[in-house]
Amino acid sequence: MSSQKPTEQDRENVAQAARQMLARGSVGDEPLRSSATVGGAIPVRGPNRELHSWFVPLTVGDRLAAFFQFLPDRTLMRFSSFQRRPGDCSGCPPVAEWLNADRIRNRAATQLQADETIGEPFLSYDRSPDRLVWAVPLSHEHDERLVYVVGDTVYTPPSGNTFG
Amino acid sequence: MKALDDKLQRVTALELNGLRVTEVLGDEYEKLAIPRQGTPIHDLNGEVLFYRLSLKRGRTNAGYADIAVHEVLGEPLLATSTGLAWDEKAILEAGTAAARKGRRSLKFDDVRFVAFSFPKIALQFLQERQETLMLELFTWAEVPREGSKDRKPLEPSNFERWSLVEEMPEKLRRERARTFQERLSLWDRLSRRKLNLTAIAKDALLSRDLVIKLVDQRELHYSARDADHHICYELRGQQTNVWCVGASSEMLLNFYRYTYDQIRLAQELGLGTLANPNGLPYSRVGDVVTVLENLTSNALDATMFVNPDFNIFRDEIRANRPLISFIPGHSRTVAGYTRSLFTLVGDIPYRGLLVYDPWPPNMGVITKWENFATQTYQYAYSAVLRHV
Repeated sequence: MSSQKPTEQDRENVAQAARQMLARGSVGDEPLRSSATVGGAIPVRGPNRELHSWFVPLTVGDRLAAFFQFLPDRTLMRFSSFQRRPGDCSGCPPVAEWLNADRIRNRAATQLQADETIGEPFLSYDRSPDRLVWAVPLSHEHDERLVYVVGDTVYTPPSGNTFG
Repeated sequence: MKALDDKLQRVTALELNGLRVTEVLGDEYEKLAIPRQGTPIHDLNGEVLFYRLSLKRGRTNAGYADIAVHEVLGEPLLATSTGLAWDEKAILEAGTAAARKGRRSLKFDDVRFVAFSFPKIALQFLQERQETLMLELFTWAEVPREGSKDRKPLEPSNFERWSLVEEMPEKLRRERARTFQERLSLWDRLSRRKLNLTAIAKDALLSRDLVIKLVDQRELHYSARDADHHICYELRGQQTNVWCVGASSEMLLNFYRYTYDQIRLAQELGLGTLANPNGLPYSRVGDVVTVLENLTSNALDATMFVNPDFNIFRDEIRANRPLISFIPGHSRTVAGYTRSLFTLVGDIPYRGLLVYDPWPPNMGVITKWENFATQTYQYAYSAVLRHV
């Protein structure tokens, strides 16, 4: 984790690392390498909104086919794919589900309670960095709570020590 | 300078070219010549630990490689550098001059290089095989004769002489001897081929009939016969935001052709219902073993590993068995592994897992690869199929 505020240069450096890995064939398969677009890097923030890692999407058309997750020093944590078979994006989530802030806010808005206002979503995780979610602040006067949005699932951060 | 047999040159070439083909070593190594001779570096007990070979470009010393000949070092290649040249003759001259300075009565009939505090090197001056002086390389400071007493092995104080060979614990020594011999066996097999092993070149190991194994890698198959089919494993997304254990159990059971949906698995694991789900409490991690065995009428013999290391995952995948992997707050399954076989000694080789992750809900992702060094592995579960 890093307390440093990510800069535009950090963002570009991470995206560049992703592009190089894809071009070299270090990750993904040939159909993906020839058809995918590397998107901009998005900071993944921890519970205190500190920078934990970077998410770099890989899109094919309107689908989110895969993504990279890098540590702030650009160590690759993982390369994860939604594809079940090479070249098949039919089961991959729509890009908007994951990357469109308005769509995410709209999902979170279903959890709004009386007099709450909705804040700016930030990419975070639920307990484990493997469990990426959009954290959306819902505020009422000086109180703030988060709801998590991942795809079409919206929920309140779970309490207690469980694997889930 | 001691003449080496050609095996040392071959081993050096194979080690360095292996790193060159994988670009662990950069262009600055291309076409450097590997000599047949090197400088023996002794242990304090007199045994030769390794040789330092000067890598040359033309007549210029461009770098060096340290190649172990003593099993206690674990692997042949210890270090290499192109930033610092090694000129044995010049070092001996400088060291001898430093030794004579202020010591007009110094007598010696032999000088040798000694790893007096591995990897620190000194020049040892000998008269009739008895030490008369030892000077640390380049600083030319005299190394004290007496080491500290009443200390633990391998915990020397600063600037203390000690023997790596004699202080190595027996268990570690045996383990290192095994890895050393494994590596030499690999190179012995390659040495029988017609390869140019006198220089470093990116294509030196890329001959038509030779496939160099750069990584050790396996994924689950229908059987243990890797060549027959592609990966045989399927991803299941978790049906609620807290059913990762249910989804992971479903994936593992599906591999063995047991079909239980997550609603049923949630009942067995105490994860609530689809309308009112809950996660698996930390205190009930042992339930996974019970459920896997119960739902297969003990045809599967499940085992839970606490804080599993990489070898647990590797060995299970080699045995064609998937694993459930618990990390803080989450559960996934593992269906493959990879690890690089070429690294410099001291570097950690890349190790990755093929993870079938039920997150995000109703979707899941296939992670290829998860960097093993960046994750915390709390528990792992495997299941062995019992034969009648």
